[in-house]
Amino acid sequence: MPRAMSLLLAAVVALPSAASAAVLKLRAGGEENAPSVLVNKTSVILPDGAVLPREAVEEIRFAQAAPQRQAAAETANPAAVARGKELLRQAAAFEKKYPGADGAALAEDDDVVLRPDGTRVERSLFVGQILKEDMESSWGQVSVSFEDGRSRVSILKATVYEPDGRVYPLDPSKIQITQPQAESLFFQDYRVASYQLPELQIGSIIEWETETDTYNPFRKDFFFPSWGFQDWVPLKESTLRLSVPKGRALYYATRNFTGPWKNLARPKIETKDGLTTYQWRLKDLPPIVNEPAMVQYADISPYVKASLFNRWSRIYSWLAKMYQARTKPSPQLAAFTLNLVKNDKTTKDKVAAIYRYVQKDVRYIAVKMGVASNWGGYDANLTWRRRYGCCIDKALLLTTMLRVIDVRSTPVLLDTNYSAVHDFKVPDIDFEHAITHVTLDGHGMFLDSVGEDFSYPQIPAMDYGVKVVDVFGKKIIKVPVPKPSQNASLYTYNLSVSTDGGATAEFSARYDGTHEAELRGYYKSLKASDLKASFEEQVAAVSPSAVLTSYQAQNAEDISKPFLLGWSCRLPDYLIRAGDLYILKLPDFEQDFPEVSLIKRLYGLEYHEPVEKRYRYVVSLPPGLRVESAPKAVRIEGPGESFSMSCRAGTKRLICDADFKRAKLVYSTAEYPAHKKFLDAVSRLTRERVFLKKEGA
Amino acid sequence: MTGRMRKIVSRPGKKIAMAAALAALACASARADIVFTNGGAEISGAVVRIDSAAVVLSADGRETSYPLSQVLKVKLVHVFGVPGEKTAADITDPALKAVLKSPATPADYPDDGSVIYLDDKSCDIGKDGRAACTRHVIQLVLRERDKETAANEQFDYLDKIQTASIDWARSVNGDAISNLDDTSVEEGSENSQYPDYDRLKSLKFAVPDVATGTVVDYQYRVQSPVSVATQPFTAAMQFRFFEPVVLARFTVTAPKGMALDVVARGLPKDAIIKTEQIGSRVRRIWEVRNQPSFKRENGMPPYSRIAPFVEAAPKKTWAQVAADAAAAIGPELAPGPDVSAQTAEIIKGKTTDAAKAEALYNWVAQTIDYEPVTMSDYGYAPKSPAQIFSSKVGNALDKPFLLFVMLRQAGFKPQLAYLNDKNDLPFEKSLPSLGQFDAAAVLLDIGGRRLTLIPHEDNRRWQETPPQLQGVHGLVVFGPDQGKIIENPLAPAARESEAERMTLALSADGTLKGSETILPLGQAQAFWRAMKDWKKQDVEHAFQQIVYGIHPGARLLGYSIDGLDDPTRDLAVHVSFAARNYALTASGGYMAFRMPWTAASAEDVGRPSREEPMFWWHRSDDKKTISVSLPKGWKLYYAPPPAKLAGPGTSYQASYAPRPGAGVLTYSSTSTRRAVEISPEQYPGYKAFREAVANYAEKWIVLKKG
Repeated sequence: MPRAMSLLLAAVVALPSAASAAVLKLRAGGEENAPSVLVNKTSVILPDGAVLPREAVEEIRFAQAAPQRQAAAETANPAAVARGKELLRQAAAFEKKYPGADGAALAEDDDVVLRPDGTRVERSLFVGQILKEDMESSWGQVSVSFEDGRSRVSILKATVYEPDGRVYPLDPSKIQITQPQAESLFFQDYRVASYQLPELQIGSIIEWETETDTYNPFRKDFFFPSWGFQDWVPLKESTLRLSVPKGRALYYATRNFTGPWKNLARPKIETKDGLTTYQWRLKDLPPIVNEPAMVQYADISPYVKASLFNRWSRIYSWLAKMYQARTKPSPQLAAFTLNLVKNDKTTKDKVAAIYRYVQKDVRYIAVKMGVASNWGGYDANLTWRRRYGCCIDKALLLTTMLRVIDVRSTPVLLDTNYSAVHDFKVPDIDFEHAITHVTLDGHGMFLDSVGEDFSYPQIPAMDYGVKVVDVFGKKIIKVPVPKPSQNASLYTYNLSVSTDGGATAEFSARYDGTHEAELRGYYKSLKASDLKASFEEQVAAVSPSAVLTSYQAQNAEDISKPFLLGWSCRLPDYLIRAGDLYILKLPDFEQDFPEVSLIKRLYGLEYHEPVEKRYRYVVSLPPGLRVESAPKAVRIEGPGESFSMSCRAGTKRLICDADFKRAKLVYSTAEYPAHKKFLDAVSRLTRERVFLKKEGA
Repeated sequence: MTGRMRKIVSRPGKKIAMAAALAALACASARADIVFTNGGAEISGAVVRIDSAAVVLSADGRETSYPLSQVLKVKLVHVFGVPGEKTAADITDPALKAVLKSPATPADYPDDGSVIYLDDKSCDIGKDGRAACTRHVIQLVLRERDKETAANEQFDYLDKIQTASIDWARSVNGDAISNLDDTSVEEGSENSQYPDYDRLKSLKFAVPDVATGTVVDYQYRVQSPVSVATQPFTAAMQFRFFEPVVLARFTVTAPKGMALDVVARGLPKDAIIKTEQIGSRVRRIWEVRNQPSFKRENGMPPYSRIAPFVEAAPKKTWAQVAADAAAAIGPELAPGPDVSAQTAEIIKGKTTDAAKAEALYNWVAQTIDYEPVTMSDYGYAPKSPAQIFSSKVGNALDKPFLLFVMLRQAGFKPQLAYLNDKNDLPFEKSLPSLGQFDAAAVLLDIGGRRLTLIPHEDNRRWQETPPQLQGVHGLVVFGPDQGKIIENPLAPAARESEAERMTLALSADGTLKGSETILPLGQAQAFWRAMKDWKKQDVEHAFQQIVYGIHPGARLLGYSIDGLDDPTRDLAVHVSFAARNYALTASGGYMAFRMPWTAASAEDVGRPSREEPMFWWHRSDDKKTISVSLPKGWKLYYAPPPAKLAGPGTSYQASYAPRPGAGVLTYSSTSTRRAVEISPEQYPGYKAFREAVANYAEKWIVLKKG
């Protein structure tokens, strides 16, 4: 696609300038460039003789020189007007294929160049037309993040073309540099350059181009570009270009190049001016459509990732060096650990005690100040002293404490099953979570000390079934998926019905696995008074006039003991009268499955854990009331799932049992109809009612 | 060199003039600086020196030199401790000492996760009008659930108007003190996603070494380098929280000649209120002791509406406050050529005032993208109309202001008002201050009617008001009524409603099939109209999901929304569906069903009593009419009797009307809630009403074969 080059003068927004040898970040706010700086125990001294108390300076950055670019404003000119007309023409033709779209992207390009010295520059380009008002917000800002001292960013172009021919080019004076506040438990250090696109309206075409120059990469060989080709709007053309110095190998992996893109997984390769460029270009990509419980973006969209090397050993070595250094227990931590487990007889009990300690006593705070703290975490002894840390910090502490009792373990890195399946075909370091792989009595097991409500050896469902990087073991291994019975909820209801239509009910429940932890988390968060109210609301869901008579939620905080839940209540007017019939609903039995609400799906459906739910209802009937109709015994199956139900009616009692199981985590689009049919049937069957009638009526 | 830097820099031969600026910084204890290398390492230690060649770091008793060429940056870590206090034995603060001497146990507070021993806010206004507020908190963690809330703190301030800093922050466990250092301190922007309205900043910190039994002790300050006389300054404190407070204290100190307006609402009878004169300054103190924690009751009003509070502001009249605002608005009133031309274009061909006003409202609502930043989070003076017009973005002030200017340009005589928001502290007439307002509105008199126009989001009809701005007070800041307090009323229940009409047929196999038309108004209409921005597939999916909610056998047959892209019309939503196996069959020849979308729950009134009111943002009035053709060969065996129920501020009527000859059963219901708050005293009556409604909704219609 031709580009309007006439107005391409760059607006440089990043600090510092090339002349600066140091940048002082002042504690009172603001920054100061200095050609050089001297620091002693009390002062910071600048070349002009200015002396700052050391306490006044928060940070001194020794920036690397980066090429200076001339900042200037774009100007609207005839070429830009012509460019706008051409883009509007292209958009009009393209949109006809996708009626009802909220936006249409004409181009999304990513161009990454690795320079011979290991620095790299990435140029990103976007051209799109706004078709519905919400896109004015979604596309209204051009934002690009950077890390001081390592990268600088430029917004090279940000033009709005109006349907009536007006053009609004970039005004560099309106580019802002901000540091967004991170989520409450995260502390990080990056900044964002952002620009508000003006005059947006339905029909506006926006075109922007940004450049990120990573002039100081922490490792010159760690080059892991990735690109997804699809968007949530229809996309006319999506292009990825990766350029490396001639002769330098580039290893790449592709995913989801299916259907019309089946033959495009192999890039076009061209060598020119000392660079070898790998180019993937896909055209006419339909929008991704939101579906309930859909699999993740990178599991759907054509996707490329690349690396300069093809063996994970380099990643293992880099991580292992940091992890080994950070998992050496100090004498104090060793003594503390031994004291912690002094009353535990078996190694398993000791491991459980240490797991519980790291889960419960080290609160989750993620302080990510740079490369080492991002990927390497903090020294375990420091995490222990601070009693806070993120996933990798907790994993390192767990390994360190286990080392004290001679149990072998390693931190492992992973993407949880809430994210796309990690592609291990080429190496990278883009992982979102860290847990621990422990070898106990010759058997491997995984522990996740971030989940503070999981009883040993349970771990959060988000870890199930994913592949992980075993850092010390130098291999890729998989977290097993438990059986449904290992993640079961067992519900027992005893109902005693009286002739006036009222009833009493007793409920008790036992849990295994991830659901137990979720409930612990909820119930421990409640005040004692709120706990009672919570149960009052639960019984009101059974019957509007229900009156709670007793309740228990035991061991919510104590993860060394099983969590028990139960209540009892009176249910005035529980039976629904309909003439001489009485309709009885089995409490808490109706099941809804909104994830199968769509008739057809484009994408797979994903659960995060296997599940089993078992119900037992014992209904005691008063003399004179008989069962007229009860749900029929049934057993149905779907793909990797089953449901059974049976009721046995006697003169005094009705007993109903039901069991729902699902072992699979992901249902493909091919499996979806059978899965939906199964869940629709389960949902319908759980809506069945028991009909009672007075004897002799 | 920046101005900020000059304040703290000394030049050779000049005296260092920075004692005040560094008073809070002078409390560093053991240093743990960090050297970040270009290769990614982070090395902790004490920076001994930095010269032209290297950084020298002392760690584990030895010095290591890092060539500057390898160093990315050096963080000179500050420790937020109290000078001279290394262990608990060194602590001198009497309040903290008392807590440490005799801390409470979980048994003392069986309901709570922590106890706040001290929440002490102190605002000091200087002679020059500059203000500084400190907040000192001492909190004991009793249970695991409050560990995080006690240890992690975050507070906001406005960039360029205020500065924020931490005096100290630490945890005390037995004899050990663990001080915060600035590795776990972050200042950041709260609205960075809105570059044009990016002014609100926050500072957050995470105190280390906090567990059950820990005492957390910190003090932070927010300073206003601008005189309180030149900005809408208010100082406020709330006295009750979701954890118990032993002592909450608010102190406001001001020069003797500076008059303050003060409002205290909801303070307990035993609150101590004192005024002291200290030299040329007057100190006002409010103390509340032993406040129990709030319970978390569902449907509670926003916290700011229930917490006891004291608020103070420099004394002014409403006329002065409005005049100050008008002075900022006045220079921005000129529409400029683009706004003028656009205004003329919009009203061209419109013959009535209402049509012109509606067209201008719709243009601003639809064309200017709403950035949901309140006035208190950005500022009380609007941007120029040209600026708003060209950026095509506006916040809670600037969108109404642009409409105000365009209406003036169109020949109207609108007024501009600033409104309180129901999320804020309740409006206090006796405290004239712009600080009480968060959004703007345009007041327009047409045909003898006063209209309140608030063109924030683009999914509301022109006379509909966002719920948080219904039933609130405001101040006219520009127009003939300038300085007058107004009340923007709650919308009538009939304007916050949804009317549904369904025509259905039940087959002998239990399938229910038919169509429905929904006529939504107010908030319900805004919900549906939001779909105008959705892509076609997302709308289709939403309707499939809505229909699936009727029954697992339900399938969407068709849908449409009349008027979705026409802001001048109320919407009509049409949906048709078929639900297989909808009716249950029972042996004995029975078939039973309930009318779709008539379920009612009483879960939120499960508790027998409440301490705080139940709260809704707006009234409501929902009507349903459902006609079901019954299958041939089946007769109506049972239909519920009619219901006529009433509770405090609410009513519900429903009836089933069989037409035996036609084989049609018609259900009608009206559910009206005129109240937006139910007091604890009214709650039992309301609970009984809701239970009765839910019980009625549980009833089934039974057919019998033959």
